[in-house]
Amino acid sequence: MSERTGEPLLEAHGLHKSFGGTRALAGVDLEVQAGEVVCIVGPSGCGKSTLLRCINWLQPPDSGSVRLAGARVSDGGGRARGQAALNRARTRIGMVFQQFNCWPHLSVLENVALAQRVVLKRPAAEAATRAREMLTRVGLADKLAARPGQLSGGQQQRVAIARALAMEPMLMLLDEPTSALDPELVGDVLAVLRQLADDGLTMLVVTHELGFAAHVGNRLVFMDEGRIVEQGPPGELLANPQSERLQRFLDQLSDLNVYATIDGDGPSGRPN
Amino acid sequence: MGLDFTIFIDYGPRILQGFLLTVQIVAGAVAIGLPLGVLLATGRQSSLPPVRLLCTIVIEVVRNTPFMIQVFLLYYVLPFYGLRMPANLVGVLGLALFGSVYYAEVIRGGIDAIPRGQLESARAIGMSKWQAMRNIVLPQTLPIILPPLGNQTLSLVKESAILSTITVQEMTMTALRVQGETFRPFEAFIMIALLYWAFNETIAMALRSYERKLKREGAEAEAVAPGVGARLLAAVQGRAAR
Repeated sequence: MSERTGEPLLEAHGLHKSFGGTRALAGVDLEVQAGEVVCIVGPSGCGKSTLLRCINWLQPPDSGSVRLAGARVSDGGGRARGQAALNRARTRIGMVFQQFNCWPHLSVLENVALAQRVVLKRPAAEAATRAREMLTRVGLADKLAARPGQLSGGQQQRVAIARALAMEPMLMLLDEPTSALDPELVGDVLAVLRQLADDGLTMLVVTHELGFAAHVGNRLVFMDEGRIVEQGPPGELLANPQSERLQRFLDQLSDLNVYATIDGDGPSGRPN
Repeated sequence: MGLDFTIFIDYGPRILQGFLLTVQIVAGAVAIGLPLGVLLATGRQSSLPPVRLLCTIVIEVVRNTPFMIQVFLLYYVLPFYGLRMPANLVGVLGLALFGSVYYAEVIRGGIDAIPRGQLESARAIGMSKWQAMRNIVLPQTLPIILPPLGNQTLSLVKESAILSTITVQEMTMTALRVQGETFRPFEAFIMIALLYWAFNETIAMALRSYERKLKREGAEAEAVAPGVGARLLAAVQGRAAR
C-alpha cells in the first residue's frame, strides 16, 4: 500500500492473543515503513491496545512474530528469546501510555534522564543534557525541577513523550495518548505529535482523534474483533469506508464534522 | 520490698554490656533481614515456579512457627548435620530470618499498592525487572511501607530476648544472671525493661522524623497516585486476617 520500497521498519505477523476465553488478537499482520505514521482506530475491545502491547512484548502474544528493522524482538513461539535481547529491542521502541505513567517520585528532568543512565549507560551529564533537549522539544523547558504531580495531564503526557524520545527510538507506540486528557489539553499533546511526525519519526498511534489521524497519519488501520478489517490513506478510508463495520463505526461517532471537514483537502502529505 | 539502689550501681555496667550486645544483634539482624525481605518479596512474585515455591515455603514456615523453636533448631539441631555456629551468630541469623519474612510481607503489600503502569512503563523503556524494581517501584513503596517496617523492627528488639535461651549474653540473659546472684528480680528486670523501652522509643522517634521528611518530599507524589496508602492498608490487613 505504500509506494516506498525496501524492508519495512516493523513487521508483525500472525499475532494471536487471548485472555482467558476472550480473544483479543485473532491473527494480525502489520507492516510499517520507516517514517510512516499509522493510526489505529476501532471500537473498544477490538484489540488495538493489545496489538501495541504485543509489539513490544509487554503482553507476550500467544503466537506470531515481531521484527524491528529485520531483527526479531522475540522468537516466533510466543516466548521472549532472551530477556536481555528483549530489553535492548525495547530501548528502540518508545511507548506512550494513556495514563502517562510518569514516575511520581522523580523530578521531570530525572524522569527523562533515568533510563538513559540505567539502560543505555550514558554518563549522567550527557543524559541530563539530552533530557533537557527533549523537554525543550515538548515545550517543558521551564518544568525541569517539578514533580509530575504538579503538572497538568497534558504536561505529564509530554514528559512521557520526552522520556521515550530520549532513548532515540526507531519507532514510537502511542496508546490513546490523549484519551485521559481534559479536552482543552488535547491540542498541546497533538501539536507535539504532529511535530514529531514532521521530523520523520515512525509512529503507531491508537487514537480516537480522527482529525489527527486524517491530518497527520499516512495510513489509517481499522480494527474490529481482533482483526484488521480495512486500511488505507485516512482521507479515502474516512470518506469511502468499504466495509460495513467501518461505516457503522464512523456513524456511531457523534462528532461527525471532525472528519467531514477534511473530505476536501485530504490528509496532509509530509516529506519523508 | 523496697528498691535496692546499690544493685543499679554494682550491676549496671554488666547490664549495659548486655544492652550493647542486644543493640548489635538487632542491628545485624535488620541489616541482613531487610535485603533478605526484599529478595523474598520479589522472589514470591518471580516468574520461575521453583523460586516462587521456595520463597513461599520459607515465608509460611517461619511465620507460622514460634521464634524460640526456630532458634532451637538452628542452635541445637543443625550441629547434628555438621553446621555448628557460635550462639551470637545464630542469634543474628535467626533474628534476621525471623524478621525477613515479616519484612517480606510488608514489602510485598507495598509493591502491590503501586499502580501496574509504573512497572510497565519502566519495562517498556528497556529496564530489566530488577532495574525497574530498584529505580521505580521500591522507591515509591518506601514512604508507605516505612511505618509497618518500623513496627516489625520494634518487635525484633523484643523478640531478641528469646536469644537468652541459647546462651547469648544479651540483655535479658544478663538480667537473669544478676537476678540469680542478687536474688533481687525487681531491680534486675526493671533495669532491662527501661532499657528495652528506651531503645525502642529511640528507633520509633528516628523513624517518625524520617517519615515526616519523606511525607514532605512525597506530598506531590501522593497527588498523582491517590489512594496508595489506602490500598496498602487493605493489602496488609488482608494478609493479617489470614
